[in-house]
Amino acid sequence: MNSTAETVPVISKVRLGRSTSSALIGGGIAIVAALAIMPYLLDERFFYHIAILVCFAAIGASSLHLIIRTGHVSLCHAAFIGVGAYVSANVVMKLGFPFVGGLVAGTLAAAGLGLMIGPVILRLTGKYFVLITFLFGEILRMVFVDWQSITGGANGLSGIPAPAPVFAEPKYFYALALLAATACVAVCGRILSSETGRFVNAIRESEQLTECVGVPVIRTKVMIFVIACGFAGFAGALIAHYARYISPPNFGPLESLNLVIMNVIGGMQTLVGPLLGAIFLVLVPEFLRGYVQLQHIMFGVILILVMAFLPAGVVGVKDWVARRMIPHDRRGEQ
Amino acid sequence: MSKLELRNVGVRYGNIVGTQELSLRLESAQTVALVGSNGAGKSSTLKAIMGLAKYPVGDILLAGKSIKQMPAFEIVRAGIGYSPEGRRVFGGMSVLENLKVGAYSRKGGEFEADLQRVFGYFPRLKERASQRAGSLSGGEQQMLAIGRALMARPSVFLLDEPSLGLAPVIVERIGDVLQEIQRAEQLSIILAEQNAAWALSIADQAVIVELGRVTMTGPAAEIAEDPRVQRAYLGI
Repeated sequence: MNSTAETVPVISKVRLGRSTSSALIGGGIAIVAALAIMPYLLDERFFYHIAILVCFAAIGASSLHLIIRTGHVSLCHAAFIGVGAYVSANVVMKLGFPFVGGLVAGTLAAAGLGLMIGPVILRLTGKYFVLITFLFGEILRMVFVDWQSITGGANGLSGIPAPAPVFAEPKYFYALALLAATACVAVCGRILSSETGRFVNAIRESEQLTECVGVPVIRTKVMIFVIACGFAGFAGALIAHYARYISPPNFGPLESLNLVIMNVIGGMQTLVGPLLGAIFLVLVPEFLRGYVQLQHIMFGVILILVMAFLPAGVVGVKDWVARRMIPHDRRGEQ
Repeated sequence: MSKLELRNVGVRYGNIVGTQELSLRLESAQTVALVGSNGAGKSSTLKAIMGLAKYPVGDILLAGKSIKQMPAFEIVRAGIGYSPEGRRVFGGMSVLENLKVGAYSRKGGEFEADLQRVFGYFPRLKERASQRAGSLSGGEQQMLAIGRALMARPSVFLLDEPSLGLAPVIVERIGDVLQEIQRAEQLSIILAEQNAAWALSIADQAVIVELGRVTMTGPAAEIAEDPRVQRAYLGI
């Protein structure tokens, strides 16, 4: 992570400065308003469904973005979504709590699990962190498959009730999903633009230097990790009560990888990146539905192109264009 | 009681020896030059003080209290500032953000006043406050590293090779400002340097380190006159 930040000076120009943050908030409100209205204009069950999936992906990707901003790529984020989903489904179905109880329990369970493993695994960095999170995700997936009395095993859990009868209709659930996604993105944005966000950026650049400046690095990383895992569990609870059926593949390594790809394609340097990535990764497979065989090839090609030409993600298009517009002899002044 | 005291500190990296039975004392408002060649154990000594290098043997006392078990960030909060060798600043952040991060561990005090104080020592940082730290020159980055450490109001300040990679004229300037800061803030400074002539010219005391051990110690002016030191480190 550090080396890419060094070699690609463009990246560091994309920051959440104070002057841009108010513009971002204004833009954010406009986008949320547009998103809120759009599916209702089309008023078709399918579009509500897609829009809800985008909201779920946005919560997953933006919360993972918090972890990525500390310089750690987690490959088990979908597994934490799974923890939230299974816990919420069980709390509601077996213990008879209302949906809100399941939502809170799912969120706390994922955050609690993050708090248990965070202090251990966050001592690892770089590829070792990627590996151990991948393995931890596999462990959780095996728990989902094998703990049949709770998870229903490979058959999954079905008959999960909707949050309320009215939300069984995607049209109304969308309002709930959009509200949840907006709240999650707003909290992530607030964290990143606070003093803690400054420490997060410092930690990504150099953990040792950050520690030497007097910032408790591990504690900060654990806090961010726990918040991110909590949001993952929160998303999981929503997913369980929307889909009404969950099974282990929903929370497997492929889903975790998708959340990482959303960040890579959109851009890992600002919170806008994972949101663009979430929209992109949910919509593209829908458009490519007629060409299922080609889908993964197209995905691969797009990913390679983005990584080769837009290391700052789709968000970096602006800088990429700007660089090409500036004459060679003036580049030094940039 | 000494401001900072190292007692028989033995740093080990696996089987590799960093320092052996290294002892030294730093008095209040005093600058000590830690002079030695590459790999002599200067950086290991500073890292041991900061809690970044483990020393199974020995102890380090700050104002009489052991800091052996403390993690680095608590040692900073206890009043030791550190400017590491090599990577000195957060290149992706602005100069001002670097200074804000530095102010985090400070207890009480006015941020604005501290900022003006640092800008007073380094007017160049004020001019470049909103500039990305990575775009500063090497000398400016070293100034920023010193300024960032000062934001935490340390009582002891450790500098690891501040002259490394800088033009001689910049090194002289940094030396002047360091002396000014040392007097104004009553700081105790440990200056680990390969550039012995420069370090000895601004220090009160000097410690020569060879193969992880202290081989000579005394007032900087006397050490600079020692024929062995002149031959080995001053090229006279």
